[in-house]
Amino acid sequence: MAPLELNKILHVEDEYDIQTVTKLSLETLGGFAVHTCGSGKDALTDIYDYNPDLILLDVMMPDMDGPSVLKEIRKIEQFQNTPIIFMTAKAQTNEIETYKSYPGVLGIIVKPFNAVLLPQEIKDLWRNHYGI
Amino acid sequence: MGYDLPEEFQSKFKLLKQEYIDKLPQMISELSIAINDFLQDPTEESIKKAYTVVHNLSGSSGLYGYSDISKKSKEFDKIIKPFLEKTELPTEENIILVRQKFMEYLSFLQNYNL
Repeated sequence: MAPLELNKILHVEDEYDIQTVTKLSLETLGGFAVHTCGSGKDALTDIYDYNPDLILLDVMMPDMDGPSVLKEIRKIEQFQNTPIIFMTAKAQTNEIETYKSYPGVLGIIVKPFNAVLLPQEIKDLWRNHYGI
Repeated sequence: MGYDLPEEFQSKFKLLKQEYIDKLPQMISELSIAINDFLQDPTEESIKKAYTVVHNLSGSSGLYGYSDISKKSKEFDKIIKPFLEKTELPTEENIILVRQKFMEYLSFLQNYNL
């Protein structure tokens, strides 16, 4: 069961600038708590202690891509229903539709994104998904 | 940026943007090395590395408002991606074409006025 209020976000992204600006935006403008992981492997370790409300997951990462990380997260009983938002530079419609069809995926944020608008974009996806 | 954004966000974003501007020449240099490695020896590893650096530059530059760098990087990203996905082979003819596109892209980056 997902929480009604969104507080803790686990951000999985390999690129330093995107990590930093996302954290700055979501913490100072969105009021969220953000924990950043630089790889899928780190995320699969840190997720237990952090216990996020939402996972913001980059699609294109060098060692383990976003869909592979999602597959591994879903194998963990505790996180089988944790909501996911994919972040991707791939703007092709067919790829976006594929990502959206994965269970528990609230939506897609296309990179590069506007750092000022990002928190609201996430809040909108959250609210739309849960109808709140 | 809007005038009503928190001071903390504005000042930190400005600082990050300046850091990005300062390190951009180094990033272009690393990109150039990665692409040249790919052109000289198109292995799976060198293709992946070249794709990753171009892809990351596309994402990060757009984040700081350099949409033209992001756009050019995305265009070059699309040229390399078929090699990563193995829908295009690194034949001699293809490598010549990639090199030509890369020289245009590199020239754009090196002459870009931040």
